[in-house]
Amino acid sequence: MPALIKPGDLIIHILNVGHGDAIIVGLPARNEDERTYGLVDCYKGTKVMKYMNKLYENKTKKRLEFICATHPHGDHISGIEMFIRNSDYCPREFWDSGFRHASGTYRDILIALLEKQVKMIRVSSGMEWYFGKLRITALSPSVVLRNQYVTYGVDMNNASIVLRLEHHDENVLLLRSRQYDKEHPDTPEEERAAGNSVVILAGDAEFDAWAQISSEYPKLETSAVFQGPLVKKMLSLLNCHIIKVAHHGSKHSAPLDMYEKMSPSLAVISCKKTPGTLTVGTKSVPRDRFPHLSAINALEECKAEILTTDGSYESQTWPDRTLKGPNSDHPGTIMIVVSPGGKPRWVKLCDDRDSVPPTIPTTV
Amino acid sequence: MERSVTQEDILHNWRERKIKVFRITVDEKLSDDYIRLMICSLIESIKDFADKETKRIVITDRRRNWDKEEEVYITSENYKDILGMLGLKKKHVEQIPWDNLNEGQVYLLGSFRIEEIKKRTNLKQAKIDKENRKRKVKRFILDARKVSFTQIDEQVNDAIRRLYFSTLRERRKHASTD
Repeated sequence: MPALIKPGDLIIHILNVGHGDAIIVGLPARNEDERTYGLVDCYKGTKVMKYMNKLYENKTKKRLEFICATHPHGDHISGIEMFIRNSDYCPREFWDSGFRHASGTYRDILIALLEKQVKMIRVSSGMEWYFGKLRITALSPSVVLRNQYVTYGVDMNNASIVLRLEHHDENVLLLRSRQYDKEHPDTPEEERAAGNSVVILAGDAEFDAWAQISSEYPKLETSAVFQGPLVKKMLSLLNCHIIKVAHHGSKHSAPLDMYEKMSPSLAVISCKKTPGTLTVGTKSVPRDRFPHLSAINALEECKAEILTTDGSYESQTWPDRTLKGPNSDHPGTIMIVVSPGGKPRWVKLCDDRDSVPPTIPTTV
Repeated sequence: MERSVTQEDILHNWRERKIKVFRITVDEKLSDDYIRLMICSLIESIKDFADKETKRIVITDRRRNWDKEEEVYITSENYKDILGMLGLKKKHVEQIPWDNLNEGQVYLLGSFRIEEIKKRTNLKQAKIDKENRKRKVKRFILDARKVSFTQIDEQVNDAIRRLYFSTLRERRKHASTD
């Protein structure tokens, strides 16, 4: 049964933009008129701008709280300059991976940031932002990788910013401060419960990035009585309910053991089906580059429900000839609603990669 | 419904241009046989960046000199044909075997000639390089009679790094007044 979206809910719109990423994050607010937004990557700026205007229909537009360019590949940043130069949406902060690309698109973003005097922040693993009860943590790029950008160089996908969004039912900072209050000894239990309302946006992170994330965010338990990590492993910051799959579901998107650590209920792949062929010995084998069979297999192995923005996965059939996604076998934007501390719920809208859906639902 | 501009539309538009000069960036190697290029064309009204003294048009990497970048997807099988449409000659193809295309490379292709000029270095640089007090610097001059193809990463990367740190510095300036 769909429930009304409340102002205090976190809303994540993973837009159908074809082969690229554009994610609008609706930050929790006291009432709908006060709601502000952040943007994680922006491909097809014209569509994203129209979608944003639709979100603000009959409301006063507000500056974006942030734009996060996970990494400077064209399919993640080509629409960003448009937002920086827009008088309504010019962001308060620009989050950058620190990888300096030679493309004209990236150069133009830097010029726009300078001209509009937008704060640029070089993100690295461990950085946190708080928006009321929402905590956003950067899981990547690790400083180890970031320091390689000017020496050995890593490839751009591994420079990706990976964000963890945790929407707790209490103010996270208050909760952390209560850890030192002897009258409330249950803080780790409450932190564990927060795992239900975690969404990970993985940019285009590949193996090197995931390896660093895995080592920097081990399973740990923290205790109010004994300060510091215990050997008993119970709290995992990587555990999440939803993941926006890295690199459009390519064969490099994430290894199976990472998905097992995250154990998502829903995996969203922003993609446009791209067939290719692989030469094995003397044979030419047809194979989709995006989403790749190996990524799909790993996610199915973890029992995650899979949604693609182009509908290519959902329109496939199981061996018993039933559709893999019976109600979502069409292209469309995926809208996720996370109530504070609650399990996320989602809906797939109906829009192609250039147009916006006729209406954006108020119940999910 | 709004129609998407296809890769074919973009290439056709570029092929019709009177003066063809393209800045080509290897944006992403998506798989062994599939690459996305980001290509932009020199703006058509190019008179405004002529060298005032020599009246020659010097191609620079400034933002105002180039149209918006467009993405072009190439495979190991069709890349010679696609770049051929933009003016790449057979002799140039040897410069870019498929396996040598890597992310972050930037090429200039089209109607221009390369001039190497000797530029006087500053004192600090001269101390480092006592043998050559003058450094050779490449300039790209518009020339409708020629078709050239050259890699320009070095110049572009230096400029991007300067711009990047200027932007970061600006952020610090404002952070203190927020």
